[in-house]
Parts: sequence; C-alpha cells; structure tokens
Amino acid sequence: MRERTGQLLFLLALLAIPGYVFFDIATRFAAKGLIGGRAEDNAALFPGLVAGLMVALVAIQLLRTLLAPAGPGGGLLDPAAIWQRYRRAILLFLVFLAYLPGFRWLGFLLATPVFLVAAQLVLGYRHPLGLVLFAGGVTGLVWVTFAKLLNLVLPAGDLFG
Amino acid sequence: MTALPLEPMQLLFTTIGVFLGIVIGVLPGLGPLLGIVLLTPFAMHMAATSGLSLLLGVFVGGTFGGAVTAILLRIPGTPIAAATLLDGYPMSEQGRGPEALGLAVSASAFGGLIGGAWLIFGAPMLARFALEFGPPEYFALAFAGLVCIAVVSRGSTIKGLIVGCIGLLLATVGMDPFAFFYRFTFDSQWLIGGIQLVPLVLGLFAVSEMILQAQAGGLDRSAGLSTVRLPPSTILGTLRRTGNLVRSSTIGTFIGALPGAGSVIAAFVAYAAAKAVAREPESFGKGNPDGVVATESSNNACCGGTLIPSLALALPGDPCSAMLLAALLLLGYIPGPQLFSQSPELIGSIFGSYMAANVIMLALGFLMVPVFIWFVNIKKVFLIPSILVLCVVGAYGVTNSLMDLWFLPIFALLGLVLMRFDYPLAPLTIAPVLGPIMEENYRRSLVLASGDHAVFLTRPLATSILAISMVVLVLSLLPSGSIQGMLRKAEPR
Repeated sequence: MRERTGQLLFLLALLAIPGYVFFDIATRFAAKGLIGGRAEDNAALFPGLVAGLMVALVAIQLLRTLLAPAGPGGGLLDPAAIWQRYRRAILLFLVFLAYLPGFRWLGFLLATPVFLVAAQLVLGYRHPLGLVLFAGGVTGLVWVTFAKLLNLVLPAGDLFG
Repeated sequence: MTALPLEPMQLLFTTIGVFLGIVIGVLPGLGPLLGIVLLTPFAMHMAATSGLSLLLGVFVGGTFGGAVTAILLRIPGTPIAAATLLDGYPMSEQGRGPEALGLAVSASAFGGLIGGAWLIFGAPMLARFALEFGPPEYFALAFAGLVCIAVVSRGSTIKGLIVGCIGLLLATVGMDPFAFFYRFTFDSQWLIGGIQLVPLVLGLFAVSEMILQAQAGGLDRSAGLSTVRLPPSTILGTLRRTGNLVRSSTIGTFIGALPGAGSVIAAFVAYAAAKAVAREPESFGKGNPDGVVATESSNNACCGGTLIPSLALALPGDPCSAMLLAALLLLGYIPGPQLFSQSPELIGSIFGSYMAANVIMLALGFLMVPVFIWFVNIKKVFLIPSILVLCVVGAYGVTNSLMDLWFLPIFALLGLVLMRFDYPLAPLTIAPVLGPIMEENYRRSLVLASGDHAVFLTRPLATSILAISMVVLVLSLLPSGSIQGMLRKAEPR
C-alpha cells in the first residue's frame, strides 16, 4: 500500500472524532435541550465549533494529500510486513497491555516483577540471575519510594481481596 | 518586587530535581518533559513549595542534560541539545570534550540566571497588566497560543491545527463548565472526570518513546563512555564571552516567552546570531566554543522565558510549562495574574527555586559528571522496562484510578500513529490545558455581549491579538516564505 493511501486512510479515520462529537450533540445534548440558547446553557457551542473546524482542516489536508504526487509503494498495512519489522515493539506493547490488568488483579508487588521479566525477555535479555535481581530490585525500589516515602497505596490485587 | 524566600527543604528538593533532571536529560530519548511528568506524583505528596522546587529543578537540569551526550557521543539526549552538537562534538573529536562540557554547563547556568532575571522582572509586570484583561482577551490569547504552537510545530501547520483540535476536543470530555452535564463520556463513569493530563502525556511521549526505542536495537549495548573531569577554568571562559552570553540568553528568553517556539528554536536562532556577528564565522561547526555557549545559554534562558506567560497569564508556551501549570493546579493553586496577588509567597519561592536550580546545576555539572556518565552507560534493556513501570505507577499516583491507566496505551498508540504520519505531538499536550481557558472565556464573552460575536472585534486588544494570530496563520500556510521555512533556514545544516 502506498504512503499516500495510508495518509488518506488516517485522515478519514480522524473524522470519527468530530463524527462522534456531532452524534453526541444531536442525540444526548439535544435530549437535554443543551443546544442553542444562551452561551452559558449551550454546552454544544464550543465543541461543535472545534469539531466543525476539525472537519474543515481534515478536508483541506485530504485535498492536499490527494493533489500531492504519490510516494513509493510499501508494506504500510501489510500485517506480515508489520510483524516482521516491528515484532519486538509489538510484543513489548502487548506485554505492557497485559501488565495493566495484572496491576489491578495481581497487585503491584506480583505484577511488576512478572512484567519486568517478560519485558526483558522480549528485549532479548537472557541471564536468569540478572532477570531475577533486576525485577526484584526495581520492584522493591519503586515500592519503597512510592508506598513508603510517598504513602501512596499501591494496588494489593483484587484477587487477594 | 517579590522576595525570593528559600527554605532548606526547597533547596534540598531543588537539588534533587536538578540531579534527576540531568540524569533524565542525558538518557537519549528522554527529556525535561518526561522528567516533570514522572515526578509530578512525587511533587503532589509534598508541600507546594517543595514540590514545585523539585519540578523546576527537573526542568532546568533536564534542559541542560541532553548536552552531555550531544558533546561526547554526537547523540543529543534531548532535541533541545541538537544545536549544541554542531560545535560541541567537533570539540570532543579534537580532544576538547571536557572543555566543551564545562562551557555547556556554565553557559546553561548563566543563561538560566539571565532568563530568571527576565522572569522575575517580567512576570509580575505582565500579571499586573493582565489584571485588566477580560474574557475576550483571554480567549484571544489562548487562541493565539494554540495557533503559534501549531505553526511552529514539526510538520505542516494544517496537521498541527488538526492535532490541536483533537486536544481541544479531549479537553471537553467530562463536566460542562457552566451546565451540570457530562459531555462525550460514552455514558461511562470512567470518563466523567475528564481525561487527565498526566496519563495523556506519559502515554503520548514516554510509553510511545519506549516502544520506539525497543525497536531501535542496541538494547544490550552500553554507550561505553569513559568518565571525564571538567576544567573549572571553563567558567571564566564562558564569562569572558559576555556579549555572546547576554545576546544568546536574551534571544532564548524572548523566544521562550512566545507560545510554541521553545528551546530548540531558541538554540538554533542564538547559534545563527552568534555566527552572524563572529569574526570568523567559518570556524562555526568546526569546534568553536562560541557555538556551544550560544546554544546552551539560549536554551536554558528559554526556561525562564517560557515561565513568564505561563505564570502571569496561565498560558503555557511549551509542553513542559503546560505540565508545570498542571502540577500547580494539582497542588491546589490556580495559575494566572491573581496568583501574584493571592499567593506572593508561592511566586517568590518559584522564582527563588528557579534561580537556585541554575546555581545548583553549575555545581552538580562540575562535580558529578562521572555519575551522569554512569547513567549514560546503562543498557536500554534495563532502562525501558523500568521507565514503563514508572509510567504506570506515576499515572496511578496522580489519578489514583486503575481505569485511567488505560489512557497510557491508548495515547501511546495515538502518539505512534501521529508520529508515523508526521503529525506534531506538542499541540496535543498544550491544547488540553488551553481548551478549558478558551471555552470558558469564549462563552463568558458571549454572555457579557448577549451572544453577539462582535465582542471579539470591538475590544482593541482582543481584536489585535486575533488579527495577529490570523496573519501568522495565513503566512504559515503560504507555500514559500512561510514562518516554518524561515525557521528552517535559521537551523544550520
């Protein structure tokens, strides 16, 4: 897929943002009578203006992109090419995504060392002792700093009540 | 004139902030913005003066930190130091690395102090003047700020404005400022409180940067930098270049005070000015110490400059000052001209901490270079997971919401996609801060004028600001001779 096609698809995807704004204004805002009237009662006034401006800007950019010369072809949206090229980044992102529910369900003290070990394995670090020491050390340091020095209550884990 | 009280705790936290700021600054890909965001949860749990001292220290130290790797490795730790490597690295190649680093530290500190002097005299004056402003003027100023940021951001102006619109719309999520009504929440309890700036910035800049660095390779390789000792005589060397120092610092302060311009542009403009007035301009780019002094003094003076409109008008000039304003709000203070009359002691302590941070940076820069070089040598395989953990815990520390943590991957993805298609990220950080100011003052202006939009055209100051913004916008959209083109020409190749 060509670079220009990617740019165009991205611009079209961006239209979903003002699209949702207009949809919410036309449905929820209208039902509450918060369209029109005095400025203090018109909750749709400012977001409606900004959304309108965004549509206009996206339209201009679409035109500019269409009128610009087409770039070289490439595997912009080819899943196999993306995986091949960005495998490590994608895996790290997935491990990070898994850490977030882990943070909630397992709690900071369990989820963090597991995440650190998994992330280091994804990044290519393979020394078993180093993995354990690093995961334990960072978890301990962050826990002492936030939970003990700053009195921040870090999640203990929903699974453990 | 506001006094500059500095308590021992403030001094301690300023020192810690400067140290951590330099550490974060020397690590490639990280910078003062990330430092401020990561340390905001710490600042929130302290007394306001101590917390702000910590963040100001990070701001000052982080702005300098990038120079270390720019000079020694030809890798600017932050984009701010990109101009420094033009002469810093050639000096290093000639075996004058310690001299270049010494000049960079001392020029940064003196530049920061000159910027601080402008801040101390300029901000209260601007705040007094701003007390006369009404809602139309505030709306016009916020609009101008957003336009300037979109214009000078990387990439095209239209793309900058599109990203600015996304930021403004994100700012409207949650409670309407006038009516009791939740907007754009997808009927979810999660979004009722709006989108918090800290997870947004952490996702957009930190998580996305770590994902990018993971792909970049060289993860298990140390920079292998050997330690150096900085000659104290370079302090005198910097002071001997008084003309260059004062000129570059003044340029840095004024560019910093303009919305959106920031330290990178300040450094390149000061570099171009130093080269233009030099007796041997051809020596620039080949290891001329004046190049290092010009860039480093201007980019640190820029910190003082950017704080002037941020404190006096609550209008952030760059993402760092947007985060500092957010921190001020989290600490329970409303930035703006009233802050100067309502909390003069806080303003005094901000000024004091800022000035102290520059002096402390001079001392730490000379005494602790081996420690900073040790941090440069840390392998990314250790750094990336640790920073991701800090992002999660930091975001949780500010919002105390497990649901808000999902903003981290959402905005990281958005940041990666925006970068992929060459859209600037800075407007997305600043627009959520400017958005509420714009909306509130826009609607208040209309209330005052019984709904008549002519209110923006009948008040001379508001009209002038809006007219100038429109001229800047139109100029930037012209295909040739645009502002961005002029700025690019100022950047030496």
